[in-house]
Amino acid sequence: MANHSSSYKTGSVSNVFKILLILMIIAGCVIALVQFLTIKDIKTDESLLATEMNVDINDALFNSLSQSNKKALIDSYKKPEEYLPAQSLLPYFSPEQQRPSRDLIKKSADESEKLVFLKEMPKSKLLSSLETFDLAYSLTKSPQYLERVLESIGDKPSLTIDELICVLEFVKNQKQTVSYIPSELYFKFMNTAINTLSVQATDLIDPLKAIKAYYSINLLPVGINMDNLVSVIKPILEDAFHHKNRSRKDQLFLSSLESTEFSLMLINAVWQFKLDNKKIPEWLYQLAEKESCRLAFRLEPDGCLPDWSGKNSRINLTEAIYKASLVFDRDDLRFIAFGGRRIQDATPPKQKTFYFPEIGEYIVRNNWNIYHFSNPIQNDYLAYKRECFQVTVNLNESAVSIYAATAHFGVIKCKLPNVKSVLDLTDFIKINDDSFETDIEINAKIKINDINLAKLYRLEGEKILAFNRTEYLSDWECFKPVWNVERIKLDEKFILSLKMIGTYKIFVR
Amino acid sequence: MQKTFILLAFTLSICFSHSFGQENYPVYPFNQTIELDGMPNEPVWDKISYSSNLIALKEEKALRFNTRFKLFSNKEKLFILVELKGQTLAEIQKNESSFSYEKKTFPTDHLVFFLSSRPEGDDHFRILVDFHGNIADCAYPAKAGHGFPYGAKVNYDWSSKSKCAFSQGKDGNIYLEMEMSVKSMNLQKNLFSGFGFNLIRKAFYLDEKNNRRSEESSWANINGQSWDTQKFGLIKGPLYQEPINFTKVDLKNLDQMTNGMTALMKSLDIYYKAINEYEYHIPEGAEINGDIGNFDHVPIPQYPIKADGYFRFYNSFKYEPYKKLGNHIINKLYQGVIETTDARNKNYLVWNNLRSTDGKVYGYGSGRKMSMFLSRTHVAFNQSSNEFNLKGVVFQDGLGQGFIDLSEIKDTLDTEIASKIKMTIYFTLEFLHQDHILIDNGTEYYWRIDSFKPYVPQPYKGKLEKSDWPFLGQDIILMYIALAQFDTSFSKYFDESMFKFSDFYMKNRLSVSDKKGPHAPHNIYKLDLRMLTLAEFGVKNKIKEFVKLNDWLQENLPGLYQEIPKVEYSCNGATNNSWSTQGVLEIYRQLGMKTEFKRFWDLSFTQSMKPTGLFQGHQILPMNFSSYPIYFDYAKKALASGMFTEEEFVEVCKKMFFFYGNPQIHRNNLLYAVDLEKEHRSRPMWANTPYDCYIEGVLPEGIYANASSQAAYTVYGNYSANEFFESPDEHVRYEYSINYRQYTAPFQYHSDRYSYGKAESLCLAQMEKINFNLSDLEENKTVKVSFKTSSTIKGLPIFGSLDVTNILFQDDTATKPTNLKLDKITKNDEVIPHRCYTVFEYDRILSKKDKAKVVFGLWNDTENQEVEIKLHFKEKVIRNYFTEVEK
Repeated sequence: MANHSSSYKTGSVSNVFKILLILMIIAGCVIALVQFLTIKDIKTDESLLATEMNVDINDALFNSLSQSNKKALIDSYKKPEEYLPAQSLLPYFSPEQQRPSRDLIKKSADESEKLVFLKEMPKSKLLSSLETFDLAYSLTKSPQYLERVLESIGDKPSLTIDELICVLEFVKNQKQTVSYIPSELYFKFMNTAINTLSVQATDLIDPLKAIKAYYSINLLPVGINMDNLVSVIKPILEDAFHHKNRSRKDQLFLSSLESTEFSLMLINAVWQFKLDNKKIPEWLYQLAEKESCRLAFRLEPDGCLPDWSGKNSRINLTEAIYKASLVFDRDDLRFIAFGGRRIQDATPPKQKTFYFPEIGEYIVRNNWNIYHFSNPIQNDYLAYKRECFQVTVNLNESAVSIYAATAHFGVIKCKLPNVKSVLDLTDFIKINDDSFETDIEINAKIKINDINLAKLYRLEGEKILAFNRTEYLSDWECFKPVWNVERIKLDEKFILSLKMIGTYKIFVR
Repeated sequence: MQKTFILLAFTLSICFSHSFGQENYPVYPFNQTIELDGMPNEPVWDKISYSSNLIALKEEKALRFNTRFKLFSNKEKLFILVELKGQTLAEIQKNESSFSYEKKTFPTDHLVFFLSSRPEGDDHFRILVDFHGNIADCAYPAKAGHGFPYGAKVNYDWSSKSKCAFSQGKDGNIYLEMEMSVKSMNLQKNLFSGFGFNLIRKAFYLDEKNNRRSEESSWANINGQSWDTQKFGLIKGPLYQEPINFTKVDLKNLDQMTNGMTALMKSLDIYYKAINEYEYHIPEGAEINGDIGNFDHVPIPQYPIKADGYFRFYNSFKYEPYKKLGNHIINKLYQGVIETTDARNKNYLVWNNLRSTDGKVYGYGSGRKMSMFLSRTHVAFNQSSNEFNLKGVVFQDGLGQGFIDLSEIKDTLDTEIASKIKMTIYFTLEFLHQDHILIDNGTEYYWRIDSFKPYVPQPYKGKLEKSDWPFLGQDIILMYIALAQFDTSFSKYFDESMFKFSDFYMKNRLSVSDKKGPHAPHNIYKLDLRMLTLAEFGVKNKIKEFVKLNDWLQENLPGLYQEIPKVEYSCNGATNNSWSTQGVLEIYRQLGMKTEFKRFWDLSFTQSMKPTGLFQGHQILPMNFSSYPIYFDYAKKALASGMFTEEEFVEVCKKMFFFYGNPQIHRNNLLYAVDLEKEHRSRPMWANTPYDCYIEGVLPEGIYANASSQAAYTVYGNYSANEFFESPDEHVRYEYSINYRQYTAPFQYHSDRYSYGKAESLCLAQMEKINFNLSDLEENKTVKVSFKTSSTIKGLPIFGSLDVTNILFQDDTATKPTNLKLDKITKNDEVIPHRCYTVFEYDRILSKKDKAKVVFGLWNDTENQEVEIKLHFKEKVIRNYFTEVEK
């Protein structure tokens, strides 16, 4: 009963409310209309709402541009979000997010404030500042960085293809601000970019330059026609799939270093297709997939390539491999990108050894157990598990790079046999389940300064009980980084154990 | 014409926007400038209306000095005119101006302009102006946590390039003309769309006794928190765009909704992995890999809610692990009761903060950590030496609500489990009805809410304050209802007590509140809501004393809740400190106040719920995820009560699942990479995933502001040069650790009271068989699956779950794949959305048993429909470009 009477009352209230609501709406509309009429009367300057163009696209400066390219440029200035390529993922910033990049972003924003107001900015300084500006932009969303960069570029019209890529990537990353910078700056730069690329068509035969030019084209505004250049690039890259490179005379397709750059640029190109949700042309797809695999299979277990020069830091390249794994949906690339961790749809490659005569490399492994936390020092730090031995032979450099478990022993220059076929090499290095047999003379002092020593160990006093395979790091009583406790003395036994790998586990015939 | 339409729409939005509580003011484009002399004699000022008057900075009170402003821009400059009443310029300028470098403000009368170019962000500019024309400005960077400042480094070198001039108007008012640089304020982009703004005036005066006083007023209602950009007003331009709302396409996007249910299922599976073999008290959530090592709090009130949730998913999917986990949780609850006794040897449950084995009761998040590896606990089941404190319960009414929900599915529970729940409630109610706990002095009847020691019974000597009322009968009333629904032969011993408490409530309730509304005193609505639940139970069971209570409630409560409360949510994971008003929706429903229900629902959900979460005050709110499923539950109840039509209910469910499935609120491997610095990603041994067994797209424990997905990191390493590393920078590239944290916490009841398990299990298919093997594969590599759509409503999304471990893996391990993959799922030859996911080490961390599961979604056509779908598997193909080298 109570409910009935209540609903009756509610019904009355409801009607009153409805009338009140209608009256309120009418009143609101009247007020709105009055205000609207008043605004019409005061004549606000609607032109201020439109994107302002302070440059004449028909100026002689832009004579080299076709009408359709001019239109594409105007469109991209007015609607950059629609007509410029998709942005790379920039760090998203939220006040409560404790992202590691946070401090860097703040610092970058501060630094960018200073850079923006620098009177002179040499090209090298400008290009090295792009990343700082990008990070600052992720926080402030300010158009001042793009304006400053394009202003500086305007003074320096000659750009190399690599420099051009850097600036084009910068423009797309900050594309939301394009309409808020002077149009003159934007058009001048795009004009320079198109001209720089058009010049490339004349004597292009190098596949590395070809893929860079192709990637650049895909960073231009939608509607810019570069078909002429694409018609030059495509056959070069189709040849590249068959390891043909007309720019080299040493029978190599590419050097190790060039191959790395080639693979990375291809991954960038197909990744941009993915970001733009565009279909990748078949010829590009298969070339990029093949070269992504090559790069992935060349990586040592720590995700880095051997540094044949011995002068540089080891650089992890698995980020690029992960992008490739998403584009090509490959479990083996995912496995390498995840460093061997157990993640969905990630399985190790079936193949363990690779012979890449076209770049002068030969790679041999005993297995794919590359997960550093599961392999090494378990229970007793002297008992190295015999996992993931990898030897990379570089025929051009006459050097080998040796990696065992978590330890990278560096690049060893050595005399290699006269290689006529892969059989010569398999005879030179024999890999067993837990060791290598090789003729390499490892007389050189084994380089141990690249060895991964610490990470986290489970400790009991000074004794290491277990390596922290699980990364369940919260439990501080259980797992501690070695530097947080009384320093563990790296005694002779420990050093010996490392040496044992070089002198005992790797057999020298 | 288009621009005219934009301006019309803009004007209308400004006219109506005040009704939603946020201060806003238009910025009109005028291609004009002004002479900066303080005199508002330019015609442009006459064309623009003033803002609303400033209000008191903190509490509501009348102001001595009124202030308002006007504003326009010519795209290069922002011009502001401020009208200040109640003082004269000559009088103010008598006081010498000087900037206080210590306090970074003027010690005399001044104005402060606050401006945030991105209203959703924390970074903002502050410009102080005194009446001598001095300007002191600075830039505040984004804050580093709740409140301010938390180590934020304020940039006092920043310059706004502002200019200003004052004049004494003939009308007795002071006028300030201000000119600000659009570029300096970083306003180029948002100038005519929208930016955050506030104006504060500090005026000094002498009171009647000649004492120097000051009055602070603010345009935006900031409640004293001048740095909180979320509370700033909004300057709306003609190009302002409302936050992205749900589209018709979104509400048809079953694929994203299926992603939402998958995210939820992953959460259930991860929590299962984390605790199903943990023998001690359990945490509210787990790391995505199942680790519980960073959890310390034992959320007893969540136990029955979690068990109920798992049981409900079991009831639909028949997936044994869920039942096992529900039983596991109930067994812990019961063990707590059996091991805990008071001085009179009575067993009872302690559900306030539990006592650690070191004798301390730690606050939420500050206790000693749990550990699966060391198989240890810091919180024993035996809580006999703990104090009992109803007021200290952080998840209010969670325990009672969980028991009610369990009582509704009692027939599906194992007999032993049902009996344990029943005895847990019975023992606890019996304990609570002892003379030193139950206050029954003839005029008062309630259970003491203070902290007392059951092991040393002492009579209650306290006095019941008005602010104590919201805690009266907390959990106890609901436990009684649950017990009655389990077994009236046990609950009958407490009937009389509940009648007496009802009488006490009815006699005193109206005198408890000084004013109307849900928070007079704070959270009083929680008491009203539990009494409404008791009345509803009584009416249903025709218990005359409760029918009387119902009549009283129906007659008296509508007056207290007539005015729609301010829309408040449980932000930042609030628990008993929450000022949420969402529970009032249930009060309206139970009182049959349909108009108020729908108006409040409209403000709370329809207008505020966006595809990335609840939007209020320029941003998607930072919320614990438990603040969301409430809308499933309340909508379903509203449907049952005739407050909602089926169409309205279906739309709520679709929006919610679309939101659940929004990839922006989830985490994935790419986000992990993006969060790190480039240098981190370049280090040897770094990988594109946070840790082993990581799972992407899991329903998060919470969502940060602006819908940023939740995660936390610690990056550390060894920077010292030593015998192995020549430089510190090189050393850290090898010896480092990136400690990543991301939690998921199913059924983690926090503040608002609702049936959590019911809410999230609304749209489940009734599976007949969930596990499939290779032997189920037909010749064309397909598997037929049958199920019922259950008694749900036409047009609702329905989700099913399958275990395909034995089809995708051999020996239950992902390291031995069969090389098959699920290609598609079809219903009547039409493809329906699905997601396939793997949970590694499903049984427990470090076990080698993995699970491959599938979630699929379809639209419900009719009730109780038999449906057959087909799973299509195919061989994985990996293109091989390089041939194997002969050994």
